[in-house]
Amino acid sequence: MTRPGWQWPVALYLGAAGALTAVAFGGSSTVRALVVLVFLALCPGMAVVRVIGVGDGWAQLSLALALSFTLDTVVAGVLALMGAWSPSAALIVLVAITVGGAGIELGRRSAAEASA
Amino acid sequence: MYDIPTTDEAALRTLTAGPRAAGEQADTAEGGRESVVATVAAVAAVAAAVALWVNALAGINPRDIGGLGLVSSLPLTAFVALGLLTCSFCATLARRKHSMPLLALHVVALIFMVYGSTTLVEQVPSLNVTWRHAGIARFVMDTGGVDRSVDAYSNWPGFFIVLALATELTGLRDPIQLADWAPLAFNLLYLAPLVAIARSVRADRRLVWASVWIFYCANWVRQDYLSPQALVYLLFLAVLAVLLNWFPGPGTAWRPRWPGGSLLARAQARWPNEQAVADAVRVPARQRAALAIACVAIVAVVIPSHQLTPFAILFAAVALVALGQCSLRGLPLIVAVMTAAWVTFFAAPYLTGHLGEVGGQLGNVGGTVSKGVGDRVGGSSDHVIIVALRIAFTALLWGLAALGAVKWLRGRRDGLALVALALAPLTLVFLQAYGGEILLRAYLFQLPALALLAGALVVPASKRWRMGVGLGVLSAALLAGLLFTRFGNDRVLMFTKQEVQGIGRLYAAAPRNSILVAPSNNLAWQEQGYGAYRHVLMNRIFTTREGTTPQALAARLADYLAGRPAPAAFLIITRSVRNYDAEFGSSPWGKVANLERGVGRSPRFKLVYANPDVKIFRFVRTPGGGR
Repeated sequence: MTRPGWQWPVALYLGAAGALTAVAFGGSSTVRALVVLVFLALCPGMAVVRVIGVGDGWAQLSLALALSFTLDTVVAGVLALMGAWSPSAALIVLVAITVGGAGIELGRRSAAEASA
Repeated sequence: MYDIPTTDEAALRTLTAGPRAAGEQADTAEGGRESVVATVAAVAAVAAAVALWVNALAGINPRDIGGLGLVSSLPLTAFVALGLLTCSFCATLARRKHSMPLLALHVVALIFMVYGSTTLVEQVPSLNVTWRHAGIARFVMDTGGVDRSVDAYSNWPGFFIVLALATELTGLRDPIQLADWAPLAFNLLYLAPLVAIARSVRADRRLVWASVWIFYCANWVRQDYLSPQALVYLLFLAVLAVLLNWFPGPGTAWRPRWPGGSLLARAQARWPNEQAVADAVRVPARQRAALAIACVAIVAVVIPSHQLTPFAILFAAVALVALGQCSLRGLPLIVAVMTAAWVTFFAAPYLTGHLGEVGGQLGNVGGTVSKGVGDRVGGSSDHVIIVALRIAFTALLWGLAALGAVKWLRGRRDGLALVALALAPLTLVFLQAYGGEILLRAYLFQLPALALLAGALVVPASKRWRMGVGLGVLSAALLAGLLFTRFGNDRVLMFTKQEVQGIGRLYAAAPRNSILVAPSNNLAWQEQGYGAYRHVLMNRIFTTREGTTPQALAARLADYLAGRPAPAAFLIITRSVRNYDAEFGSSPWGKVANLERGVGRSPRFKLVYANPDVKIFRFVRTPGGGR
């Protein structure tokens, strides 16, 4: 079980903020593409994996990548199959998952510090 | 010769005798200086290898690539670069105090050099299916959904929906823009689960990196382009990583009651994998439950994204459970039920229309193997060499893995899971030929286990220099083979900018619902107007050799088109289609050159566009039925 830390939650918040900002500003650039792709490939899954508490670095990373694509597919797939296709809505849901997961880890960290 | 530990203590010693223990022994000032010099030398070697490689590839023109593929155009410096990287990796691995980040750096450099090379050479993304996949994702972007009546892809749409999402959010104009670096990106993504899988066997850390290195030296099947297979392969690897790391062993009260169960129970007792089981038991039950749910969720996304991979996961899970190597014993049933549910409720309309195609090959192993091997041996002499090398390369790795498995199982009390994972994908050949690709796909699914077992032949060894030399020889053989086996079809698979421009002109000229004919599927089309045109292949409509002269071919095609009402009909012939004909052999209907000559002379076709790589002919309909 990993101990809740602050580094990953902060990184996840930054990733989510970066993706939102990149999409909100619009246009097409390599920076925007990289920021969004890294967010989609890593952040939602890492938020969930950190909540589960997987500790091993490589296993944690592999599960985070797989769960990120899983969540991307589920969120976008549900929107597409419901006839409500909206990339922005999908991004907002994925950002919410990321921020929620990071928040849970920060909450656990605060609780652990309070009880210590 | 190195003796593999046979007891728990020995296994634990091997596990813990990693860099730290070795480093403590070598913790002298001289050793430290030596270590710094070796590290600097290794980093310099990696940098030099990458620079040499990039420089070597920069001068290659796709048009000059010969029948043996990219290797025919590689200058000497490219081989020097690969040799330098391999020597540096083996030397780093054989050092008394090996460094994980340094080994990882070598592997990343290898991934860049091998899997980024096509990107460095090609003018536009290669492989015709890449363009079709981009076209399906573009369809999702344009319509906001999928049309299940179009084809099989639309009945397994997961990947295309994600690709559409990524394209929209990145602000790119077209999904094909993500294709350039897809092989490199996917192979980098595979790195984490591959390391996690290798670490699950609690072997020497050197074997972890040696096996990952071997995987990237042996992944010739080229399923890492912008495709559903490439993405779900990552998910497949992640599922294996979860099962091997968190659910090893048989679980409680494992009493196989099926025929041969006692034999399996004895095998499980001989190779119980205690260390991994003991580690897994220490994981809290809630965390293991969450991981099981995560595993099922991943599989739930694999199923609507790819037809074959759910079965690869199913067979792997069945093999692990049957051999008492996986405590998540309900997983096979869950995968089977979910797959059946998808096929029944979502893909049924497609499958009912293609039952003969899909179900007719069930259990026909002879036909499947013939389609996957025998039917591919043909075409030009260069192509025959490439196919023969692929068969030899695969057989070599199978042979090495078999020897490695014998060594492993004789000396250790784990490893049965690896043998199960190496064998389970072979059962896929009982399903169907998968367009003649099933053996390639089976090899791909086997590869993580094959790499570990083959690596166990040379790593660890009693003397470090022997380990380095052994791995060096193995790597040299695999990399030499990889240059032919992976890139052997590049003359056919690579497209030029002129080809893409010509195809763009075709779609600009063709009204919706037009018939677009090509001699074969080897062209960068279907990226526009997916589902809005009728794409027709000569080798699908004419399967006999009746009338192969230029005049006869033009007349047959004109008659075919005259009988099918459409706003317009076009024939497109590209450089890659001609190359396909030359390398892979002519289709039963005849030669592309004859067809081109015939329609060029026929009054029933009019040349409407031409550039050095593309010719587009429009079928001229006449009031009397087009004749």
